[in-house]
Order: sequence, then C-alpha cells, then structure tokens
Amino acid sequence: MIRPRWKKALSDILSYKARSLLVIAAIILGITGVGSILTAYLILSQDIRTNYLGVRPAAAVIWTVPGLTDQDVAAVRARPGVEDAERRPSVMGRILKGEDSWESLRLFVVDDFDKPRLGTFTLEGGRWPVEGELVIERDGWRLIDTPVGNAIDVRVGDSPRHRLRISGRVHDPGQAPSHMDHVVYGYVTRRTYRTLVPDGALDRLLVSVSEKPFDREHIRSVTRDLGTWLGARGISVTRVEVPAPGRHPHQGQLESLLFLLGAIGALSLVLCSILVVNIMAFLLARQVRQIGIMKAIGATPMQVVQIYFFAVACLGGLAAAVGVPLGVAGGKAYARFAARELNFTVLTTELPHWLYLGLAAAAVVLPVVVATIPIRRGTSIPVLRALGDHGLTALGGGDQARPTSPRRFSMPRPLRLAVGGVLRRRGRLLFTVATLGLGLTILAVALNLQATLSRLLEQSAESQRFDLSVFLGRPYPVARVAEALAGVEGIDEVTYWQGGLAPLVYGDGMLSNSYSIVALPARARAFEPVVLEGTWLQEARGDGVVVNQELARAERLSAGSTIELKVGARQHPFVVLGVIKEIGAPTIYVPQPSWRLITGDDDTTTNVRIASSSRDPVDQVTLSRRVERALESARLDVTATLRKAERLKLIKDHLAIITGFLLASSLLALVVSGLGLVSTMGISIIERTRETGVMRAIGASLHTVRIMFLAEGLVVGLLSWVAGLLLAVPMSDAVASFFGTLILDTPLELTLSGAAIPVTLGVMTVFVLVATSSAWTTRSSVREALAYE
Amino acid sequence: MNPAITHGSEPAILCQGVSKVFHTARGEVAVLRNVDLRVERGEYLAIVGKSGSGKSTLLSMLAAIDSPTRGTVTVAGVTLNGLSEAASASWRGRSVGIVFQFFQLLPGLSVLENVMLPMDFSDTFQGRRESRARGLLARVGLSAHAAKRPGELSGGEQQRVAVARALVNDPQVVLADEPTGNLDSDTSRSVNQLLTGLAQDGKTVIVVTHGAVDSIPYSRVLTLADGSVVNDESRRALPGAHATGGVR
Repeated sequence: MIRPRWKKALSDILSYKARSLLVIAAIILGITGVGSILTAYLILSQDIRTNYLGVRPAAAVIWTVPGLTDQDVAAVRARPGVEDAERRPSVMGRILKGEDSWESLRLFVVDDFDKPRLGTFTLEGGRWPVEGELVIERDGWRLIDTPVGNAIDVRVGDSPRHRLRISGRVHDPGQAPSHMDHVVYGYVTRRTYRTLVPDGALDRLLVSVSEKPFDREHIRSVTRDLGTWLGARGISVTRVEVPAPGRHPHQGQLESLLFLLGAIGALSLVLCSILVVNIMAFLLARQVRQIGIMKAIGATPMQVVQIYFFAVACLGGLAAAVGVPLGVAGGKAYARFAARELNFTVLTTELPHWLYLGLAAAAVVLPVVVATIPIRRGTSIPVLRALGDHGLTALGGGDQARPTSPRRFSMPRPLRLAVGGVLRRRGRLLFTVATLGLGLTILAVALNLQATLSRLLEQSAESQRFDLSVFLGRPYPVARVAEALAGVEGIDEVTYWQGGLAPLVYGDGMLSNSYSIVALPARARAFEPVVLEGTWLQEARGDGVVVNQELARAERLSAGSTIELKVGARQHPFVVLGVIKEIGAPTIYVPQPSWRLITGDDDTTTNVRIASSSRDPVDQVTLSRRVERALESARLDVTATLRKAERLKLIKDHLAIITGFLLASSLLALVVSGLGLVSTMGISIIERTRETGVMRAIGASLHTVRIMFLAEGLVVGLLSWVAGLLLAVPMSDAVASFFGTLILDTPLELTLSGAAIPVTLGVMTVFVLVATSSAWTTRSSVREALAYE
Repeated sequence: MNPAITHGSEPAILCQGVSKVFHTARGEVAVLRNVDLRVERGEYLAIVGKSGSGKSTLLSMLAAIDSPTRGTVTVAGVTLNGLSEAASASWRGRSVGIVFQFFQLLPGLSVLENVMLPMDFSDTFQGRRESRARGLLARVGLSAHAAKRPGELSGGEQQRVAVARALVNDPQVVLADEPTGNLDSDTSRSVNQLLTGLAQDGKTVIVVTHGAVDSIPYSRVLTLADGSVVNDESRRALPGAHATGGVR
C-alpha cells in the first residue's frame, strides 16, 4: 500500500486536474524547447564537421598559371609541410535552366573520379562522367530541373554553348549549398574541360598540410613557402585561398542560428519555471487548512514540504515522458531541415544516453527547484492560522492582500471593482504582468526584427540604382560590350565598372584570401550605399578605398586604416576612407581611375550594371534574358547575371530561416506566458467564489460578476501589454544590434514594426478572453458559491 | 475520587502561570491570564466558558499548536515551551490525539488512509499500520466505510473517524475542541460516548465544550472567563467506569 503521505500528493494532483495539466504543459513546453535545441546542436555540430572533414577538404587552394603537370603535383606532395595535393582546375561558366535562362556554374575538373585525394565527393546516383558528360552536385537541382540522363547546355568563357549529358548526381558537402549561393557545381573530366576551355584556365591546386591542420597561420606559412617554391620552378601563383580550417562554409550561420535558438529555448524554460511557481503558489494557497491538519496530527515542516516536492516531481516525471521524446524528435526534425538547407547528411543515428537522462532529470529537478519558494512559503504557515483558514481570509485577503479602493480617480463602478480586484494582490499582479508582458515583448521583438531586416533589404535595394548586374569572366573593352547591348530593348542606362580579385598584403608579407574588388566612379549614380563610418569614395582621393562591413570585420579595418593590395605582381598602398553597410561578400571599392592606373586596363569592364526602363518584375526577367542572349551572341564570357530582385530574394532566403525560427520560438514563449495569465485569472476566479457568491446574494447578477472578471482580465492584460511594449523597444534595439553583428557583421538600425502594436494587442485580448472564460462558463448557484471553501 | 485517575504521580498536564497576550492596533489583549492547571492522568476534564473566554487558546497550548506569552506548559512529561516547530509536531503526533470541531480530515484520502496518516508521520507501528487503523475503525463502528472518502460520510461519521485518527498512535492525552459543535444532538451523544469510553479506559481526555456538561460524566469541569479560571469543580467517579467497554 502506498504510504498515505505520498497518496495525498497523488490525490492532490488528481484533485486539481486543470492546474496539474497546466504545470505538466508548462514543463513539457520548456523541456521540448530546450530538448529540441540541445538535440539539434548535438547532431548538427557533430555532423556538419564530420561531413565536411569527411571530404578531406583542402587546407589551401592555390591558383597558378595554366600548365601544371603531374610531376609538378607529385613534387608539391613531397614538399615539407605538405600532406597531400591534387590538381583540380575550376572555371566559372553558365548552365541553362529552362528555355533561355541561365544559372551560374562552377565546373571542377577531376583527374580521377574513382580516387579523389582531396575535396572528395560521393556519387549518389548515375555514374561518373566520361568525355562530353558531367555530374552535378545534388543541391544544384534546386536551381535546374534537367534530370540525370538528359543533356544540358553549358557555356564557359566566350566559347560557344556545349551540350553535356548529365551522367550522375553527387554529394559534395565541402561546397556551400547551391540554392544559397545560386551556383550549380558540376564535375567534368579533363578531356571535357579541354573541349569547353581550349585555351585552358588557371590551374588550381588543392593542398593539405601534414601538421597543425587547424592552424590557419601555419597553413598560410606553408602555402607561402609553396608559392615561393613554385615561382622558382617557373609556375606563377596568381592567388591563394586559405579557408577557415575545419569549418563548413556556412558553419558560422548555423552556429549563430543555434545560439539564437538556444537563447530562446532557455528563455522558454525560464518562463515555464515562472509558470510552475505561479501554479504551485495557487495550489498551496488552496492547501492551507490541509497543511495545518497535517502539522496538527504530527507532520514536521520537512515532512509537509516533502509531500509537495513529491507532487511536483511526479508532475515533472509525467511531463518528461512526453517532453523528452518531443524535444528529441523536434531536434532531429530541425537537424534534418538544417542539413537539407546546408546540404549535408545527418549521420548521427543514436544520441547519447546522457541527453535523455539529462532532459528527464531537468524535467523533474527543475520544477522541484523552482517550486521550492512557493512550497517553503506555503508550508511555513503556523498551525493555528492554517487551521483557521476557510479559504476567504488566506486566499482572498490576509497579509498579502490589502483592501484596496482606488478612490483617487472617479471611475465607473464595474471598472473600480475590476481595478480593486487587480490591485488586491499586488505581488501576484506584478508576477502576471511580468510574465505576460515578457511574452508580448518577445513577440514584439521578433516582429520588430523582421521589420528591421525588411528595412535593411529596402535600403540595400535603394542603394543600388540598377536592376541587373552582369559579371564578365575577364575584362572586355567597354565599346565591345556597349555594342552588344546596343540593340537590347528595355535598357534605360548602363554603367560599366571594373574590378577583379586581389589579396591584402599583411605586414609580414603574408597574403590574405583574395577579395572582390569593384572599381567605379566616386560619384556613381548607380550605387549610393549607407556609410557606417568615414566617407564614401572621393574623387580627390585617388589613394582612398572603401570597404564593406564584412571586410572591415574580417580584416579589422576602420576608417583611416592603411592597406596594401596586391594586384598582379605589385603591391599598392591605399587608405580606407570609410566602411559601408552592405549585405554580401567582403568587397573593396576602389576609384575607377586608380584601378585603371594599377591594371593598365583603360577602358575595359568586368562588371556591368543595367537599369531597366520598366519597374515590372516580369519585364525585368525578360530584359535579363535578352541581355544574356545578346552577350552570348557577342561571344562575351559571362560568369553571372543577377537581377536585383533575385539578389534581394537570395538575402531574404538566407535570413528567412533565422527570422522564421525566431518568430516561432517567440510564439512558444508567448504561449507559456499566456498560460501564466490563464492560471492567474483562474486562481482569482476560483478563490473568490465565495466572495462573488456574497455579491450575488446582495443583488449582483451573474452577468455583472462575469463582466467584472473580464474587466479585471483586461486591466491585467493592458498593464502587461503596455509594460511589454515599453520593454520591447530597448530589447528590440539590443537584439537588432546583436543579431546584426552576429549575422551581418554590423549592428542593425532598429525599425519598429507597424504590426507589433495590433498583433500584440490582439494576442493579449485573446489570452484575456481565454483566461476569463471560466467566469463565463460557471453555473454555480448562490448557495453553492457561498458554501465554497 | 475516580479510580481511573492516577494521583501522586507525574501529572498528565501542568500549566503554571500561563498567560497569552495578543498585541493589536488597539493595544494588548489578554486571552489567558496567569492560568495554573494540573490535570492528573486519567482525568476526564471539561473546559467550559463563553466565547472569548480562552478555552480554545488553552487547548491549543496543551497541543503545542500555540505557545504562551508567559508561563510554562508541560504535557505528558514534556515541557512545551521553546520547542521548535519540528519538535512540537513530532511530539504532538506521538503524545496527544486531537479531535477538532470541524473534523479536519484530508478530503483526498480514504477514511482508512486518514486514520493511518499520523502513524506515517510519526513512523510508528511499522508493519501493522493498516491492521491497527482497521481495528480502530471497527471500534468506532466504521469498518464498512474504510474505503470511502470523508465527503461521503455524515458529520457524525467523520467525527468518529477523527476520533479513531486521534487514537492511532496510542497517545496519553486526547484533546477535543468542541467535538460536537457541528453535530446534531443524536450524533453528539454517540461522539460523547466515544470520548467517555476513552476516559474510562484510562486516557486523559480534555474536552472544550459549549454544550451542557451535566449529562456527560466528566470527572472535572473547569470554567474560564476572561482568560482566567473562575471555577474548578471536581466530580464523582465516572458512572459505569470500566463497564462501558470504551475504546482502547
């Protein structure tokens, strides 16, 4: 037979089914939230690394002039500090999607598909290609729709189109996902490559190091020595890239997202804990007399406390039975989603036992811990007082409840009753306002963040007064390009910029990764960015460049910094005039005259910006196709065309995952805080049953009582709403700043959402209606109400 | 002299100079004033007086539920002054049985579990708690109701359960605060008979009552007024002592 004291605990759980279910629901929500995040983190942090490292990624990529031989590669492998090397040229091209629409294509040339040494990839369908064929990375099928087995048109450089058969589908986790970077990855044999690029493009060497594979400085040092050695053999190194060692290209984004979600999960857990405290306080208030009885018949304070801890632990155990599997399932689902988005495979099939045990323990222990305060407080009431409790004094009045009569302001009686009822228990009011207010704050913050990001995209769009960007594979005379575009209908204005890729030279002579250079006139109408620091390009400052915040963060630059750019074989000093806000890759903006001087390319262009004569998106798509056709006909090497709308969508898609989850997580927090209001209003309605019975006995109608509770609920709701919105402003600012720095390397300027006020007000109203619904559904008679204890 | 009462040995209850003063906004209110009381073992004592005379306060002190402002209270050989809450609860569970006016049963437990509860808290009668509780229920005539909840019983039946619970740890002293205050006359009679039976079995029984004391064979009647003892009347031996088959 169960001991009576534990039986009492179980009986209390069943006696207050609604409250018990609320506690269980609160714990489930908290554990599910934290469990999902923890599970996702465990899977993703491990698997993304395993996926990436599993492909034996190159520690460094070295571009050389064409002509690397197998002997050269073998000699590189034998160099000190080098573990392995593989020649894998790569060239940008175009691949046809649909009838006359092209996507960017990056082609990799693989000497031995069966035994790649570095940057490996796996065949998932079909077979390895032979001459005239290619295999495509699986994520590319989010951009094209030609199935395996069919032929597809590709263009490389200014060569004519070639039709290649798609022989298979591969998975290459070492590349950034195609759909995110809008580039299809294709893999061809050397013979196919020679067909596409008869003159050959730059050779490309993948290198891994034999020691300190995660030490970027060491890798740079090895590649510098290698570059010197290659130069001595007559092989010029044109560019060196050292990616962040051991990290997937988008790992930073994933980690930022997990961090954000973790914060939301932790916040949900805090809110759930607050809810548990709230509900336990109510339950104990209803147990005052029983606590007195138990003490009177011999229960020590500790024995009484243990009974309620046991009850909470049982509720936690029940919640764990649901919350733990839900949390793990949620985490696995998110991991699958993230893996799909980031194009890697979930490898983890089993999770560590400690995860399940830890979550279960948290579900049991955390509520017990947070319930300590209300339990200790509720059970410490002296025996004599407890035995004298009849529900009215201790619950509806007593030390904590002060008789209130807001006489200062004249107001209608029902409102006065409502305000008086709300102010009666100020501690509980504060608690409820804090909980619901916080939930509304989080929702408002999520909405404000969405508005801020939308504004950022608008600003980005406004700063670019062109509709179409065309990137050429090499510098072409402006006149030739202009001639090709002359007959294209729908063009309003064309601007010809220059640019390329160039690394920074550090003080010790080492080179950075190559950064994108855009050379344009200082007063380019087509581009007016938001300057965060310093100034934009100045005509009078030929030695002044501007960088975007991404580059400024990566290289720790600010207005006034000096840099050395290596263009060709020479180094050129510049001063950073300013830092601009821009979403995109790290970029250096150089005055066009200076670039011409450096490169000797007087009147060439690599970067064409076209303004459409129509604002209609459909017209702009048509224009984009016409431009491609015209440039193809003119045998110009186009590596990419990008409509502004497309670019903004790309950025939006990057951010959508984050903002979507932020909104979903904020709703989770809101549900928990709403439960707090439901609990509090329910407590208030129940504990004042006798009081309202007295009111009805002396003439108040049931309808009046219901309106009174509704008014009370609205007063609490409005106070919470005001508090929530007031807090939302500074919190949104802080989150925008933090979020911006984390994801975009620049604090975001807050834009308040126009939807925040109506949405939060609507949510609050719904919560109040739900919370006070028990007042509308009660059917107790006056006699029953007066006899209620 | 009542043969069931043991004179000359340590008394069951000894109060010396007990006063209880409450401090209110209007000043001090003395609920008990310098009360001296000696109750021998086996006495069947009624404490009477008007509302506000201090009867229930005195009883609370005897149960260590309340403490005096001045004076000492010794019950069952233990001086209650200065006991911690845990110590007084522990003592109370083993040494006194309390019967309340409003029964004070836990609604979520069965009748049997309510009776077993004091043994659970005091950790007594291990291995035979259920049988002991059933035995006590049989003796108060409620065997058939063991599985019921208190809410399913009448007032009188609930009070009999409360009596059984009060006896479950075999206390020396039984304290009853208006045990029939909430019952009709017939039911009151049966509860009073139960309490009388306990006294006849040698337990020290103290009853605070508003009701008539003449029809109940109390061995002593103490009258309080304004917090002081105004009358202390000893009576003849219990009629039919040891012949009424009271509850052990």
